Amino acid sequence: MKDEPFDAEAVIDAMAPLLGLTIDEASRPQIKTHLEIAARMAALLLEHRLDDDAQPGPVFAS
Amino acid sequence: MSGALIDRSAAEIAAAVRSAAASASETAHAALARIAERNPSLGAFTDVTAERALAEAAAIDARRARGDALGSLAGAPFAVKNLFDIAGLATRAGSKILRNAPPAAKDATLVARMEGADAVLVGALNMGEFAYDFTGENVHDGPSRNPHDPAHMSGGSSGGSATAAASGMASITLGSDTNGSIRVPASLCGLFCLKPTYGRLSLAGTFPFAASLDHLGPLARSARDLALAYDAMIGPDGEDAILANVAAEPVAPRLEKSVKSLRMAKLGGYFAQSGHPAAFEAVERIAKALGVDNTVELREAQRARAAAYLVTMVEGATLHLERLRLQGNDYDPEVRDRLLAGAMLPGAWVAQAQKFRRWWRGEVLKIFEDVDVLLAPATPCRAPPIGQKTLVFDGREMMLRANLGLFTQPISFIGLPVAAVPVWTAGERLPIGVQVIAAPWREDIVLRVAHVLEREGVVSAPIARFA
Repeated sequence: MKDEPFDAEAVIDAMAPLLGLTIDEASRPQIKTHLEIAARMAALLLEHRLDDDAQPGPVFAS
Repeated sequence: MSGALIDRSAAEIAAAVRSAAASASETAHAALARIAERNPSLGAFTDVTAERALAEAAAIDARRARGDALGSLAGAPFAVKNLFDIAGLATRAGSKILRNAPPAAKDATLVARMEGADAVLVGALNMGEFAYDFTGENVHDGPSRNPHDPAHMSGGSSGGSATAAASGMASITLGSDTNGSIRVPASLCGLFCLKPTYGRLSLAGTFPFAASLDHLGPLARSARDLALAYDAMIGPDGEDAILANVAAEPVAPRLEKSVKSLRMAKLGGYFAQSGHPAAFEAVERIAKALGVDNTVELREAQRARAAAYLVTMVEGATLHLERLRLQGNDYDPEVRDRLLAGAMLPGAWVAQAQKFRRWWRGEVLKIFEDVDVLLAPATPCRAPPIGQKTLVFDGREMMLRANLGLFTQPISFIGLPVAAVPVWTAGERLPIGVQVIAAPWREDIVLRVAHVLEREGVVSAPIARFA
């Protein structure tokens, strides 16, 4: 992902039909912006190495 | 009377009602008159439950007349963000889509518990659509305005909750906080608030946003009122699958306990950049008042924020996917487009985010071996004007709607309890908040610190002057 520029337009074109979503042309620039922000966030996150046995933590009981 | 009494804290109202110095009924009438006067220009309430409030107040007065003991919030008017179920009303969650939904069959658990302490529900409050918001703006209901300057944002998404409490229309309000939606409006409107530990208060009977991050909590004009509301709302609830099996003790009886033995520090690094000077000056003021001069860093806070951002996008989108397919045009476009983008994110990103979350929580808990309280800004700036779309921090222009929660998001990501306290600066019309953060389950600590700061006059939450 670091090597390839993130192509938000391609993501929209691929994912919208898969999800059954209709995307208005007027919405595309905003969706694209949000996808690009998310991709930057994800790049930052994925750089961080976690052990294979790292557990997800949505619920904290103690 | 009650023009004056309803300006007092919930604790003082309850004391007056319990001692028969005032009646719950006259207090309810005064609160409803206040709402009728102020709400049209401030946009806090979407429903006013006048009939219910007067009936509840009359029942409280009748019980007192019989000699029954009354609850800790007797007669205090409270109101809830309109994602809490109120029996007989549609739970609209700030949306157009849900406002014609069937009315709720019963009250949310926390509404019932507040009434169990004899607080009087006066209505449901405006909010950012489906809680995906930090501004308090709502395209369907209009903005909830900042009572200290109505041209400015209340903050969101619990915008109406802040507007109502800061304008004296309710003593206590309840909101929800997924990434900062209680703490941001409390900061912008100059209130005390409590975002408890994740899993501490029941979510039953509320409309979710991102379930693995959702919290509920109170906003008020004093730390004691937060404690009384918290004490009224704690306890097990079989209707909430997330509620942790961790014993909760009432905090109000311990509020006066000294904070001198608590080890405190300011947060540096991520929490000391990307904001206006006012945010950091407020932290310095609080630190100085508490005698705190050391700084610690939560390493990887930026990644934590990124992870929270992605979890929110995906869980929010999943919740709304069917509605996005069928009723996309009925959303606020700004909310819809974020949700649509969230629906398209790879699963690997959010799985990594949840794994990172557990790891980071472990790292932060190590810091609490040496420190009891952490101080950080609640928002990166004072309330922006309504309609503003971007913010500039450190020379970089950023989207306002997503970034008002810059400093709150990493903290709620790992569920830490936070009280935000309101800081005022001479010559400034608008306040700004500071987060007082503790280890999981230590709501008592954050409320004690908030209380001592209030008692010493360092922070306060005056009712806004109504012009």
